[in-house]
Amino acid sequence: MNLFGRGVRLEEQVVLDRLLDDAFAPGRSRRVPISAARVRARVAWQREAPESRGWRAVAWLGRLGETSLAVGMTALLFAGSLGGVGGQTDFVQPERGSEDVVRVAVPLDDSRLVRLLRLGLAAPGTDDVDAATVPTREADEGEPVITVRERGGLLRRTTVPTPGDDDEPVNTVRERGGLLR
Amino acid sequence: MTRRRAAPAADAFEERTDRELVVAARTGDMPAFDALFYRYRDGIFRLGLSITKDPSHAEEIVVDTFARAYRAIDRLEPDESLRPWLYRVAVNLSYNRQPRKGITFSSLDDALADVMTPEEGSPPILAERAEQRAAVLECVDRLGDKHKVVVVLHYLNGLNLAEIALVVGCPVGTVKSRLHYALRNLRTHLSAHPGLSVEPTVALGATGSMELMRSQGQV
Repeated sequence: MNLFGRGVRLEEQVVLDRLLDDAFAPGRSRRVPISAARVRARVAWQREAPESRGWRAVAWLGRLGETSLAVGMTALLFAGSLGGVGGQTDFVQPERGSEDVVRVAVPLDDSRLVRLLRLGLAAPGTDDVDAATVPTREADEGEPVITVRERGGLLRRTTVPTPGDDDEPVNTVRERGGLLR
Repeated sequence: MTRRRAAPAADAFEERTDRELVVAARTGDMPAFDALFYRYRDGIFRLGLSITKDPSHAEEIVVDTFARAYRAIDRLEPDESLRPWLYRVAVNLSYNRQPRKGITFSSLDDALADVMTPEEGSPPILAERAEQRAAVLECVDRLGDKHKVVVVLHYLNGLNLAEIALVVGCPVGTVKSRLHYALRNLRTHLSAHPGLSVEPTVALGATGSMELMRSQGQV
């Protein structure tokens, strides 16, 4: 069994040879009226004209200018790169711990309203909170923030169990300054 | 007088080999280069015409090929045959000038039909023969580029397998394989044509292949 199809048998090849020979017969007898002068004209047209001495000097000067410009630019870039490494460079270092602080808008609840009333316009609109403790949007969307840990902030709201009444937690607003409990 | 002098000169060039003409052309002998040009001009034109299907492109290919040959005459190895080198340049130039897809200047049979020499025979036979040629050339046109160039070089330009291998730049075995697959594809295409009978049982009949080949003068 031939995987690539049936091959061409000798008899078929004879018939194909005859058909192809017959088909190409008019083409084989074709002559083209092209003169050799046309080739010479093409060669002469494409041949580069010899340069005069003046044009050669101009070309030499041009190449010299290009080379000097390239060398100058390279030297300038190299010197600039060395100066950048050797000189004193002041890098602005980020403040420690500031990279994980984000600003979030806190919903206006009772305690925040109290703080706004007490501090007036001096109260910041946003709180600096730890990014790790920010509740996800899916979890608390539409719900008040239960716990916001403020990094050195003004307000902390926690749930503190009272010693005498374990079953009933009391929400206590503790203010760092101790003004409100 | 001039004719009597020119004719022996032309004969002298025709008798000289490619190598002798190349060596003479290197020394600036322009008639020797012209003799090379007139020797291979028609074959390169036919090759260019079969690939580009445009006579004006084919003429440009002839001129470009020999202009390149003139510039490279010092680098040409006279030991090697000049013909495969010229055909190789012509094939590359032809592929560069190949018509883009969707644009057809004229088919191969159209390009050749205007130069068909008048043949003897009754009008019905001539018409039938012309139709057969058109069908075969149409099937050749439908071949892929690699197969088509091998068929054209072999059947139109008369190059042997070794020369075709030099032209297309691959081993002789590859050329054989391409020619075989080209003939197989042609057999498939031609079998589908109602006016042609490629099947040997139909073509040869009960007389046998040798008798048919003898009648066609192939044996």
